[in-house]
Amino acid sequence: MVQREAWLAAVLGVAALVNLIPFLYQVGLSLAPPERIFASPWPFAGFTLENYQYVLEKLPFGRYVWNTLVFALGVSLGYLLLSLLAAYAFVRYRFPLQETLFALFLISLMVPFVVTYLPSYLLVAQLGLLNTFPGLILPMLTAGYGVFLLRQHFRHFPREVLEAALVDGADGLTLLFRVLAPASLATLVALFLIALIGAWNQFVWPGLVANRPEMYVLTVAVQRFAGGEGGSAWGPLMAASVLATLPAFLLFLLFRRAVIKTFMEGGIRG
Amino acid sequence: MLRLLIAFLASSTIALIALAHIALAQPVTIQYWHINTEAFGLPALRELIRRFESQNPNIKVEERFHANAYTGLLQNLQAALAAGNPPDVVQMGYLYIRYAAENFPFVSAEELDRRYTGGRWLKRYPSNIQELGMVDGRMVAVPYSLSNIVTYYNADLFRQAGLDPDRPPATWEGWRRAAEAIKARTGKYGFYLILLDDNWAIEALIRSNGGRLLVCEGGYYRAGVDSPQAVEALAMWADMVQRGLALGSPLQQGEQAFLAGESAAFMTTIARRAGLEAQTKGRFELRGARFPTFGGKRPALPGGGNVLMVFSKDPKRQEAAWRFIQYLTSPEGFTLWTKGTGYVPLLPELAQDPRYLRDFIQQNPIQNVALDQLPFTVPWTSFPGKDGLAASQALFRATQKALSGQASAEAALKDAAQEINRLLGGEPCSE
Amino acid sequence: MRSRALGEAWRRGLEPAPYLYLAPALLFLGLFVYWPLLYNGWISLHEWNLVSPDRRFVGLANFAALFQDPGFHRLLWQTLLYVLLALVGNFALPLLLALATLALSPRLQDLFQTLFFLPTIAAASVASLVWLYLYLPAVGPLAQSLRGLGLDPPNFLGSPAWALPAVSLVANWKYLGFHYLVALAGIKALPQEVVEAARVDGAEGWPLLQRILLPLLAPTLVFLFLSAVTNALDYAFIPIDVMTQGGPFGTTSNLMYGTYLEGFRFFRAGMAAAQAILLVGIFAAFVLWQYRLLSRRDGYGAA
Repeated sequence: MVQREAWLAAVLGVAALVNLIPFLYQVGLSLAPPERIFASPWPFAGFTLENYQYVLEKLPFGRYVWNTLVFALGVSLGYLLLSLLAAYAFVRYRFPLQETLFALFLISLMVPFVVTYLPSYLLVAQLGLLNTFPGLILPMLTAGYGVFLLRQHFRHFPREVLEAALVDGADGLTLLFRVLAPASLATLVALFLIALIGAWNQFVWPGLVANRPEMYVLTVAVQRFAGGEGGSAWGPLMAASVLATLPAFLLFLLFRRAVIKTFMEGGIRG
Repeated sequence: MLRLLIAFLASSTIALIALAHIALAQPVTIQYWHINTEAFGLPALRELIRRFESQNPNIKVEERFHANAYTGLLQNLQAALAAGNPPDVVQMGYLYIRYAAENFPFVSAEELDRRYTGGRWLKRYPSNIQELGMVDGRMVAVPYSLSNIVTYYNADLFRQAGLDPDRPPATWEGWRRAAEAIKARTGKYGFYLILLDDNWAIEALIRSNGGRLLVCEGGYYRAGVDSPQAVEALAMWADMVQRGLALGSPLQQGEQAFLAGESAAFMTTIARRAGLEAQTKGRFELRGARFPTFGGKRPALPGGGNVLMVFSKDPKRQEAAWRFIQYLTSPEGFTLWTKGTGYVPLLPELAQDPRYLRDFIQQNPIQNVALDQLPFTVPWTSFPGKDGLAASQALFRATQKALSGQASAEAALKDAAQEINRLLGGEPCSE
Repeated sequence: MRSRALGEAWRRGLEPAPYLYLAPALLFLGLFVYWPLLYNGWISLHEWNLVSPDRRFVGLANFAALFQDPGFHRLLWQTLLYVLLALVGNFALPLLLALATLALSPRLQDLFQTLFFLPTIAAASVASLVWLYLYLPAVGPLAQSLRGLGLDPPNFLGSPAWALPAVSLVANWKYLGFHYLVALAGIKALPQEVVEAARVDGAEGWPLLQRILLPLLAPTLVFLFLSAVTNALDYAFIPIDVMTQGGPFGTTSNLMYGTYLEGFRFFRAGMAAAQAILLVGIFAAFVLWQYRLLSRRDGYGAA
């Protein structure tokens, strides 16, 4: 048994390492002085903190972290709330048109950003919400996945518990927030993470709607070092992107513990 | 009763005058859209804005950066125009002026010049420079940043290959021989010619060989990319890539290869000068040479960079925009801009003027190369019509096909010409 | 849930409650998904660039042009390739890795979760630039390692045969960790009592997997499958844009990227809109079909 475990650990270790190689290069390049960038096929070809100093000097990183946090949290919380309500509706009640309405959510998953991004922008511009948080957040609250996932999850919820609660007089929002939601904490946290990661990685949308320098999110700010006719400043670019990843990584570490903890408490609490 | 009326009229007039005064004294805020990053021009841009604002206290300039260079900026411009929210001054890549002029609502430079500076401002430019801002004979935008294609090369690698870095090749034939030597003695690529979907490099090749991308025949535009000169140019490049003498990869990879010492030369825009100098310091000796010619033929190099185009709808903002442009294109403005980027100053006399750029140029031989090539500047061709941008993709695809050996240069360009002609669909021309 | 208590509540008449709960989500869906879709549908019947006052109605001409264009057929084929590759990288592989991880001690599990997840939160555009370097012919680390093994590495991004898998690899790599976590969570959440009971009853190995584990795991599998398929093109977008812009000569493009090029590079909004409609149509049909299939298999039956 131990032998099998050791073997599996080795395989996974290799897989993890391979998976991380590009990231290692990203970090390695961020630490390389200009004359050592791309000089060697190995990721770590030199050591200097000047790229990080440069980036931190040039960009108000704290501000961008804040912007990204507000944006990402706003999106994930809103997304979670809307999905909860909608999934609950599908599961607790039977009503005319419910299959059609559910199909609407499913189909929305298939509408790519190239279709939605410009009309959403036009709408936001008309509402005067350009370069504001509401303008950034609201169009991202289209809760297709969330509804799908939560509905799946709620459907498998033990009936007896629900019926007991109903008998006790809990219904409507009380049933949702006092019984269903707490018992589905792991799934809710997972969904929250999914939405958070999605928002964190957004680049095209914030670049369009929040292009006032004070409103940049991290992904847009990083671009300040990339491309243009003058070429990329490779060192600072890598440094900026590593810095942009750190807050998300820390958040992930925090939330991941919560998810694990809930799992260890026995999966679906009955 | 009458006295009351007079009193009323008098006081409202005074009030209105006072309000007007206040309104006029309100700072006008204009948006300046650009693509300059920290490592490329942004500090210079900020300095320019700072100086302008201190000289013009009632105009505020908000700079807005757009990722993904002119393409990204154009996309956001389209969105802003669709929302009725136009920016004021925009750096418009040369490639896109025609498209913007034909399809977007804007205010022409000649109109603004006429209105506010009596038509004198634009005359300061030499005529081949003025042409850069023109579409069909009309001056729609103000030429601002100009780059041309130069050859950066790795002097150390040259020496390793037994070549003299003080005498880099001047023709394509010379570069072929050099590349062969480099490959034989060091195993590295001889050069990397920038490959991007804006067709800048292939146009430099074709035009320097005497061909044109677009011709005007019988009153209509037609593709010129299938001409023998064009085919010869592309075939030469493709042949060298196929033989491993030149690298045929996307731009970012080509740059990485050059920095890594894997390619002895990097033919790209002078605008990268400052960036490349910083990145090759301590690594290898960076030098610059002219873009290779085809034998003795006079080169023709499409001007890269941008013009300044005005999109404001409000006359007050249009005036503020013009004042800003005046500053940017003043001798002081150009001096700051050239020093901070690598772009060539559009007023040639600045290069000799000790107050402005003479010393800088003298200390910067690579920058000098671009200046020397200035007389060979021609406008960067943009295909006309609503499908113009799609047409340039056809040329790009042909280039890629030939370079990767999927098709001969002749076959690829013939197909591209057909596609382009189809997309041009009979655009009238007036030459 | 069809218990008597609920049934009675329903029979009392139409309740406003479900509609009220659905309203906010539907509102956003309407404004930011369906309104754009309808607008897009309308644009697909025109020739326009979204800005100039010049706008011509052309009916179904854009669609006709697409169907006749062999380049478009290639685009469809390439789209399918992206989806298939995504199923490997974002469905099969994460599941296998998750299963392997669960056989390890909790400490190690913790470690691997973190390690695998890192690429998902790193900026896609910058990661793609790093991959450009990894893929660099001759001097790139990948080329050098392959040469060290005695192989002759191709120019990955310059070769029409290799470019699409190379780009797809980057897209899948980025989100592998995320799907791995989902798989892990799903497997962990299996009610242990049921599995134990089955084991005690003597079930083991393949039958255990098939009769007990898979049906229990169904929701997770469905989610992973749909996620891999519906996100395949989306995840590939930034890598394509940064690395190849659809090239070499269109061999790494797909329906979504092609739509982007038409709409935002060439400003042929009508053409782009037509492509987008086709994209949505094809994928929506597929997703609905899969969902029908899978929810029938789902032990709890159709709603």
